[in-house]
Amino acid sequence: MSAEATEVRAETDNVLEIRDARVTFDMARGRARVLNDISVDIKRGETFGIIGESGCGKSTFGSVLMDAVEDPGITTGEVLYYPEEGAEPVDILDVTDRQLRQIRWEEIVMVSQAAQNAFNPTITVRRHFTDTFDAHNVDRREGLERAREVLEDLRLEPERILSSYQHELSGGEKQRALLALGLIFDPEVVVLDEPTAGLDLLVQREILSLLYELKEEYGFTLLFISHDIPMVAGFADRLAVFYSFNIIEIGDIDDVLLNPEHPYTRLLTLTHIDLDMAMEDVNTVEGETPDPINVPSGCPFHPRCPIADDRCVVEEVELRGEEGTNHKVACFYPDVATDRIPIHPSLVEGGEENV
Amino acid sequence: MSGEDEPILTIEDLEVHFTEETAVQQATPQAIREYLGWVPQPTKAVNGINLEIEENEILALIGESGSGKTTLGKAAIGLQEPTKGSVKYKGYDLQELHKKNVIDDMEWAEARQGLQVVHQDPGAALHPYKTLMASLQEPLKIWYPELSKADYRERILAMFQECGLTPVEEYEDRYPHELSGGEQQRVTLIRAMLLEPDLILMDEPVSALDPSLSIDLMDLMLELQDIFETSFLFISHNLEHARYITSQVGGDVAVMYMGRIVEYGDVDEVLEDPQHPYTQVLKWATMPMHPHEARERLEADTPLRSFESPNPDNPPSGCKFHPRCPKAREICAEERPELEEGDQWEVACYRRDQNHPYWDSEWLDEEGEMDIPV
Repeated sequence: MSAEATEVRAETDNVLEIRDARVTFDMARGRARVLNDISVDIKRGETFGIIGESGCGKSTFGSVLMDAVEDPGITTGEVLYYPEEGAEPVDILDVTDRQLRQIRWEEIVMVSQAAQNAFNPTITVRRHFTDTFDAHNVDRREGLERAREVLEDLRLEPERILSSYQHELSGGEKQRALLALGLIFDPEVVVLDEPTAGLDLLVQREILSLLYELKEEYGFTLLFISHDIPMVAGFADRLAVFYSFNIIEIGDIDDVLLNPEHPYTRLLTLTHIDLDMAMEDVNTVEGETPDPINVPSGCPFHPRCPIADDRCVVEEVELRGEEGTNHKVACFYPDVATDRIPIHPSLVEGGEENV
Repeated sequence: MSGEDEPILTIEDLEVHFTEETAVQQATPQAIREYLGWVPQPTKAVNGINLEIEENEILALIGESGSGKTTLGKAAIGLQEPTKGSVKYKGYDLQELHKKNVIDDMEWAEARQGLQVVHQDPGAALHPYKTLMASLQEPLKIWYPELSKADYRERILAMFQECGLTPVEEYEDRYPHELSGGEQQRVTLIRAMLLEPDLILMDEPVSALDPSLSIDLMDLMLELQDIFETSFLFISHNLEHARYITSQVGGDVAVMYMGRIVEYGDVDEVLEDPQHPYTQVLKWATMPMHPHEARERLEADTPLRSFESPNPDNPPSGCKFHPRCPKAREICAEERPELEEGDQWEVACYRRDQNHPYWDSEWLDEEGEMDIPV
């Protein structure tokens, strides 16, 4: 399908267009808004990194793309999916259950954290594959043929993995087998939510390298969600920083990381402990992440922001950027932030040689 | 030889072996087992470790799953019986102390109280149906039966204050699920600190936390250490955390691989210029934040012969790392390099010695040497 990409189009080729996506939960204490009117376009074939602290809405965002927010959560807005370039979009939040079942896995797939528990312990990996084929009306033999190829691409021995139960696999093997299951129908969009959480350093590293290779080979659009900036820094073409259930900064990876303009993004870079930096330069973002039931007024970051003033307390702030740039930031004072809040020394110009 | 001048912990030639047997094997009488030649091969989870931890010291223990770091940690605080060697608390052998209950003026109970632990998953470590006050009073009731309930409460609230769980009155009646992950981990740290221990084993305490919360917790550990002079044995697979917690107090780092320590020394020196190929690979695997460097790192070939750790039930000959080592020569498969004892910076690798026969040995395979760009 990417072969047709040679055709020159003036319009950008979006695979997903998300409009005013909102997720609410009614709780005893009140209504929790765990995703707050997000609008963003995902380009076909790009790697889109998503960064933020626990409870900032980044995983919820991933679920919304497959209309997979669990009850009693209510999702509103639009998630327009373009199966291929120039095709009519479908709104994932407004399709029939049947269509949705087909879109999930075959078109858009999400591999969540906690792969360690994703497999049913009482059936073999092969059964997980064949059950998936049955559910999607795919011939088992053809499917398994393909499964072997994908497993091999993930540097696994297909026969051994297929005949194993989950407890017979190492953590890294489990995570890779789960990825293979996700890639089995050659999906258009892959959402990875903390794909290396809970794994050892070298195994993490192996999975990152594999993903990097597979991304090139399979040509899917990748959304990579993590709380750890270095995990996505090498991958992402663009990066979105989540705070308080919305995007507060977005742009090309170099713009967002090397020249962050939101105070939160700048402070977040300082939480990275570099093996060569002085420990005094490490910092934390002081204060608590917002409660979804009781989000601060104005700019939700103002209670923790070192440069906030009265305006930030009362006036709502939206993502904005200069004409003709992809770099957008939800802050009234990006210049002040750039001026007054330092960023991680390894990101500063000339800092590269020091690392 | 025991007394006040002794280190908190002295670990000598420690080995911990585990033997896995099937149900059938376990049920078979010894004589028949021998007749059938069923001699179970023990897995050496910890295989010859020497360590000392002084008062007010932080030692970071780095290793992957299966390296034996948690087993070593458990043995260090008396939760795991050594197969060989010994663990001494202030000079008193823990096993002997356990059996006799008291040696000289040292009691087993004192050692138990002096050596505490904080686990990786704080959610699982706290009783879900008990308020924090109720949970935290439990250990105090055991170890300080002479105190009153009001005393317990006072101590607990003082620790809440110290650890930033404020307003304290609001926290005492909370249940674990009403806390964030970072707060839960602070509570488990408080629970250990309340017993005024000499040493706390921290087993991957920040692995499940966000970067900012990880730093908060480590900062808290450092503050508490400053006040109470507690020692920490900090277990992690993350070099960044290990460096953060030890670097500021001039602590040491020990890198473990398949039951043995392969590199030991001052954390800043070791992590700046690691000498053992394994430590070098770990440093290489730690991703930088700069997008260009991170991309370069992703595109580079992995400096490992194999990603998979060998099966611990059937460990490789010679240096345990040789099947994966980017610098392995034939001699590495034949003989095992020892840590040079007494050195400030110990490395179990032949490459440390410029005149070692290693340099004349053939490369392990045609691939020869792989570069580790760190």
